[in-house]
Amino acid sequence: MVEDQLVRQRRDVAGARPGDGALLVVDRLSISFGGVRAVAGLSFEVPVGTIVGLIGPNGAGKSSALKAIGGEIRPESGRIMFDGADTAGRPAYLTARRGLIRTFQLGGEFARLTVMENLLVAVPGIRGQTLLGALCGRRWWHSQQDAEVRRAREILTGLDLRHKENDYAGDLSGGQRKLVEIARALMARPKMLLLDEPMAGVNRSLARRIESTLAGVRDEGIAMLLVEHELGSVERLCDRVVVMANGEKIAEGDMSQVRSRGEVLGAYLGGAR
Amino acid sequence: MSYYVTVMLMYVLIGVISAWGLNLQFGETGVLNFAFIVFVAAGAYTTGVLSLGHPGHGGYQQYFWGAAWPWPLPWIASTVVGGLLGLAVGAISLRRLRGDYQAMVMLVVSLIATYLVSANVGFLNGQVGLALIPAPFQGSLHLSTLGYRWFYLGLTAAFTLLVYEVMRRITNSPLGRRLRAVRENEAAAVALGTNVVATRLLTMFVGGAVAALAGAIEVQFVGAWAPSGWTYPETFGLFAAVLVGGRGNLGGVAVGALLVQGLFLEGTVLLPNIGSPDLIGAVQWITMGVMIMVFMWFRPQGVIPERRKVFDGGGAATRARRFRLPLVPSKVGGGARG
Amino acid sequence: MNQVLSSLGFGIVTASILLPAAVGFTLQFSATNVLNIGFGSQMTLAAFMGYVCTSHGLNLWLALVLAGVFGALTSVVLNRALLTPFLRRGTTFFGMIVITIALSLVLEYSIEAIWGPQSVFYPLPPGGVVHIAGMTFTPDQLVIIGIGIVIALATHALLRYTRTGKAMRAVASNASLASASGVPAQRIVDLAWLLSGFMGGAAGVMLGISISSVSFTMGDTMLIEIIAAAVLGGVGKVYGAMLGALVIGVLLEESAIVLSGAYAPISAFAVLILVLLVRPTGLFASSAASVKGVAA
Repeated sequence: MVEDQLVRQRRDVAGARPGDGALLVVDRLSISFGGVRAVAGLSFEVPVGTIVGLIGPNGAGKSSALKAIGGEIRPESGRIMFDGADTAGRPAYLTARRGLIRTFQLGGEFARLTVMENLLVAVPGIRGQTLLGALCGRRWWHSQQDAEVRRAREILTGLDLRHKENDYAGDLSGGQRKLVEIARALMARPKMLLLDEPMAGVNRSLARRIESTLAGVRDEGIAMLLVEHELGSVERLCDRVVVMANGEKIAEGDMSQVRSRGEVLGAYLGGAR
Repeated sequence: MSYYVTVMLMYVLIGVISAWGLNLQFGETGVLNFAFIVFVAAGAYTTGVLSLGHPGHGGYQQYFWGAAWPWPLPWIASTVVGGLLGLAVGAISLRRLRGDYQAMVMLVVSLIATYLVSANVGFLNGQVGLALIPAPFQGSLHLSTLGYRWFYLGLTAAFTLLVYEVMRRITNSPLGRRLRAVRENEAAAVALGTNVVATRLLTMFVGGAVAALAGAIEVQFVGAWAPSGWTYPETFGLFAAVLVGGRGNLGGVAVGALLVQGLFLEGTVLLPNIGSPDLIGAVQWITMGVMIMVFMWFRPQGVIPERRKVFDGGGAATRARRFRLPLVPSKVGGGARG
Repeated sequence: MNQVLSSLGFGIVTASILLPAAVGFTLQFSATNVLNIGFGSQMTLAAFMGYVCTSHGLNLWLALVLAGVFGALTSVVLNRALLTPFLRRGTTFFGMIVITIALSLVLEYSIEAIWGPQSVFYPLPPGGVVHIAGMTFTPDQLVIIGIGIVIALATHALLRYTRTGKAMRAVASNASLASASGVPAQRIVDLAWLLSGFMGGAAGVMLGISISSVSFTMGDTMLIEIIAAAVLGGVGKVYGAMLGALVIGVLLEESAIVLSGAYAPISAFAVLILVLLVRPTGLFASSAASVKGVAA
């Protein structure tokens, strides 16, 4: 069922940008916090329909880069082109509305909203979301919402969360909450997802399910930038990998290429020390 | 006795309307508007000057400008003024400030407003306040005093229902969901494309308008309005109503307003002969403080907690049930595992 | 010019009262992350304790110290018995504000129930006036300024040079991290509340001496000025609070020259709001990196 859903999304994506290469272009991105440089001259691209992994030891600047791409922090310099527009320094909610949806490492759910409500919040431009629309009453918005509820149920069913739809998101297990976040991101009809360690702290079977879900999502044409420590998952999922250390890109390529590079190992060992 | 009943019902209804306005901001959206009473006052003063007529003839009270608009124009004007003031105050305090700063700035705004109005006699008659504000249709209806009170109570009840309907539509709609999302997790709401500042400003607008309407209704019932009646602790009383009743639940908030207002008005009856009126007043406030603490400890969600919005098989938002029904058809469960 | 100077004198007195209060308020906030609306009422309560002492014939300045001690003890007890249990229960930041509002109502109106709505008075010794650099002070005012300076210096010494003070700053910047690195957080929190209670209590009596009366609503207005000073300095910053107190105190009195007396308070708060619009983290916040988000 989730497949039908995603086929529909693929059409949207394909319609939006026929035959283009890079959906996201990060160009000489630099970020500083109070004089401390977190990211220095980072450049890479995420082509349409691919998963790019962003890996590196703790403190390498991955999260900062992710935040800047999502619009949460303003970069010091550099360009971030998403879907043909420079989004660097623009408000995060506008970047999200362009179809770039991020998930959170921890605590991204709306705890006292049900799973279904979590998903429905993400629907862009749903009727009844403005003051006037709300005052028009149920008749104005309910048929569109019913359609979205059905779509949400398809996604939840695919993730084996259908039976939790009326539970508060805050009452779910950590892994289930991550699934809810991914489901919610899909409800937003994204062109691309920014995933901040979706597998961290999740048990093996759930991590597998997240993995296969993400693979399915990619096959339907949604690009992803994946920050993840679990290198096995990165290898299975990512078409390309960007390795960062001390705020800089030290390697790029597919995982097997990257793995053989001495400096990558060095960076990881250095980070672990 | 009947006179007493009308007074009590009036204050309860006014309290319910105000508390619903505050609930939209605090209960639904998580905005801590400690200046809420200022919006009630703005509505009261607006209706006051728009019913008193041009100033300056009698000279017993001064105000900067006035008119004698027919009802309901003063109430409409109050609502608009309250909403716009909400936008203005929100633009100052909510734009870039952190939650704790927001709360403190709101408190400061409330105090500045009281100072401003008290200090400037030519503006709204200063510390003494406006008096002899006429009530709508009082001259043309030819009712007895008590009869008029019942009429005005009916009018107020009609507007209470109107506000209820507006609040119900907002909280049950996708907009209400967006408000709660902002309350629960600002960062996640932003990441899904919500303009959080605009959302909070919207609740400042609607909540301010509703507060001002409550003020407009109150001022034409009481006939007078002065700074001592809207100092910032008054806002705390409304917070108590929302908290005790159950934030995020319109029925609960109404119950809270009934309890808090009832305590204040019935207090004099319940606590007879313990001393001076000052002492009774003090005991009422102490009781309120203790009540807030007790509720925050034993029932932090309030008398009637926020309802979980359960979606039934057809996909429509229904009124929540107390407990969850098993609603997964076997087909779906099997499909998911397969 | 003369007027500017004499108002500056008043401003310094006001600032000297505001300073311990704002520092105390900030210490509490940085130690426990509780925005304590009840702080003003705690000050008032201590001021009334000072009144009880003087009405039993004690010396005014001894009463000030005793009121400070009383304030310190009530502060610790209130934190331990009321606020900490709520915090342990996971009451949110906003929930805690509501609790302290309730606390403030209970304290304030208990004071009214006990001592009545009328103001009470300290027995102020008659004294001449002292002229310093064109400013005129009464001896009481000079003592108040002295106490303000002593408290500022003592706080500075404590935070800079003692182990406890360094631990307090560590807890303020990150309680869980400090706790993990061996700083006994609960003891430090107790100490912060003890000190803040003392400063608040002393400030309450100082205010009573300065305006020569004590009433149960005294803390309300004072609280807003304290908050203004603390916010101006950058919430949670002790040195910021000191500077904030100085700015707000002087501004409150100086603006009375230009504006009519009733408008004077408005100007101070208007400045506060202007500053916040330009610098949302306060005048003296060090950098954007130090701004920690407060969860709703």
